[in-house]
Amino acid sequence: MRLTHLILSNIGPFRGTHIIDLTTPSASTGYAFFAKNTRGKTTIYNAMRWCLFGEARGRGKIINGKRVDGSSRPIVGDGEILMNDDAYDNDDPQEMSVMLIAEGLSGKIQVTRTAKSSTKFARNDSEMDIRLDVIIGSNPMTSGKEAQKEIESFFPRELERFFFIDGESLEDYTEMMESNSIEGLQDEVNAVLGIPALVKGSDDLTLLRQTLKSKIDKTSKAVKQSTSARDNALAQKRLLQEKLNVASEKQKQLQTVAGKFEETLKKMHVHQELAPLIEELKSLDTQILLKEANLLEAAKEKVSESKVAWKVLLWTQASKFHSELSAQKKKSDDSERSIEKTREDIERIKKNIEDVTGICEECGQPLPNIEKYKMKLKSELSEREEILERLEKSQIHSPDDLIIKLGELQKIKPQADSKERIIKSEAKWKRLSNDLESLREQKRNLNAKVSEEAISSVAELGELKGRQETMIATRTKELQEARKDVKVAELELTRLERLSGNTTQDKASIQLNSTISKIQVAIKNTMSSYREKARNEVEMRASEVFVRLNNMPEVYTGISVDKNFRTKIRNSKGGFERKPSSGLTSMMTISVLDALRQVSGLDAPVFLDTPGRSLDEEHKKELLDYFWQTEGHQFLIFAHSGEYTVEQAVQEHKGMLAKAWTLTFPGDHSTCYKAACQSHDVLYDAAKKQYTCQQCDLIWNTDSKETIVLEVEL
Amino acid sequence: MADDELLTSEFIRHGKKQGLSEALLRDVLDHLLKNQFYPAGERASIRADLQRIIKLHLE
Repeated sequence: MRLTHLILSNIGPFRGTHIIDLTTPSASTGYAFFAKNTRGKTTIYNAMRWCLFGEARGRGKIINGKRVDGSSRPIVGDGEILMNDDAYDNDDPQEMSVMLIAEGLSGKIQVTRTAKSSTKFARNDSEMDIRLDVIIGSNPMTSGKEAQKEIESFFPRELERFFFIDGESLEDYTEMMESNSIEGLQDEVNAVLGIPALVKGSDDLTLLRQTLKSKIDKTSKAVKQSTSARDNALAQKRLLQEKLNVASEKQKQLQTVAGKFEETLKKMHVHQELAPLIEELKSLDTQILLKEANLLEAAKEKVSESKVAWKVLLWTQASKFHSELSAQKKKSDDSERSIEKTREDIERIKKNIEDVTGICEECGQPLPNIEKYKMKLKSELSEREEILERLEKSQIHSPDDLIIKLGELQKIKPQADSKERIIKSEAKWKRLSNDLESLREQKRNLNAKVSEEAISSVAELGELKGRQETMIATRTKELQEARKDVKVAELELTRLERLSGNTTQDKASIQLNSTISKIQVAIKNTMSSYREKARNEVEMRASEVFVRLNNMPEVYTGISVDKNFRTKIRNSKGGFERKPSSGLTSMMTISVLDALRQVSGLDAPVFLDTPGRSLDEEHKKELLDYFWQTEGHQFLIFAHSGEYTVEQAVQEHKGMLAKAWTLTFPGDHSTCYKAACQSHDVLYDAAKKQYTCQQCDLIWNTDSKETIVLEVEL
Repeated sequence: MADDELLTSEFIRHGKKQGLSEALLRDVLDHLLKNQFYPAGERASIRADLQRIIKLHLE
């Protein structure tokens, strides 16, 4: 892949849009940006990282043998920001973008990342809309996450460190490579060797197997349940058959009984004309029995009522005598009461006569006509005694006698309704007797019409019919029960058959699971053996690069890479260089990085910021001699003027250097910097701090901090 | 890519010992290498494709 254009807009000191054209007619690999500090070397380096990965980090640190990345630089806000300060302060909207255009095996690759403020004045990155668009070859444009995936398919972020090499961090790389800690560059080395493919692949396969296992277990469970249900269904089928046999047997029994019943009915039909007579006879028998019972009761009643018949007969005569005695008794009682009263009157009068003194009890004076009064009392007494005598003589029967006689008569007195009841019971008995005789007469008449044999036959048939009806009812009930059992068994069978279904073992999943398991074993075994072989490969390539880069290849013969990818410089004596110079160490580091880059196999340019920081002149030259070739991967350096001078680089690497640029501020120029002019005829206005070209009228302010990109004429 | 060849040859060597076909092993490794830098959280579709590749070789 070759980078063809880099377009920067409002990033760092690059105000406005700057198009850096990297296309050349030659296939040379050398590209260089020369600049003093703050002119934007590292900005270009960071702009490309931001464009590809969405962030630009500050320099990292080594902590306990492990590199810790620097913090991500904000696009806008306070402090050191990515966006051009003037654009941030004055533009509306605030906008910054970087576009990379390259040519690769897939055709033209165009990556554009833009940051645009979503508010009037964005104070931090959350107020910026970031957009990423990628076009590869003739494919449609992708954006966002998909676009990021496209980028990382040809420029993996994990391998960034082997393409964006920071010269100022070479010592950190070296420290990691020499560290006893197994951390160091482990992740990067693994990434280069394709180990993530195996590790993540193994994880992927484990997850796939988990899903498959769950599916297989579920299917196995279903198959087990299905098999069990099938067994149960078979047993249920046998049970159903038994139930069907029972039902069939009951059906046959019912049919047999029904057949016999039919025969009985036919036989009974033969005696159909006798049937009413027989029925009548039966009815008569019943009625006769009833009547006989009634008659017996009536007879008993009649006998019971007849027991007092003699009283009724006697009373017809005795009742007159009883009436007379009763009258006498009444009369005697009246006479008794008169005698008693008269006696009381006599006693009272006698007492009055005795009690008369002739003196008033109240006033004590003698009463007048006392003798006359006494005479009157004696007269009354005599009158009463006569009445008494007459009354006593009139008493013929004594009351006691009358009471005894009346009592004797009372014993033979019947109850008032006795006679009627006797007559009624007699009438009832006679009526029942007549009814009975009438029924018997009817029976005799019927018996004359129906023979005893016929009666007996019909009776037997009737009895048989009754028994058969009972039997049919019983058999019908049994058949219904049997059919109910069959129905229940059928339903259970249906349920079990549904459960048994058509579930079969998921053979495809089992086979897939088995294959995945084998691939996992292959991955595990590959990881064990491949690492050592890969280490040999890295060691070999790093040694090749190192021999070309160092200035004493006959003394420093190669690089040793141990199993943890720690590195040492090997010397011609077969040992390791104990105290190599800083330049030699930097060469070792660059050799290993480039060996790993080669091993990664990825086709991408290499960017080296401040490449010669820790190298002496000879090594700096050899570094460029190695990387700047007539063909191959582009190698872009971002060199400080102290590391490489433009003139020296151009002179020493003519033919290998495809293109070069200087990055300057306007104030760095005291002659017209316009490529087509370059006049020395300029005027300086000290008050305005600005130059004016007298040839082309170009004006530039010496205070300006806006970078000018000028291509070096080679 | 020299190193990919080494990785591939090792993977195929070990895979064949498991009775797997070279074509299957190549396709699986190509897929894994192509997608090796995707983080775990974004590998659902990669896994689905991986399963599809293996299934294709089992048919």
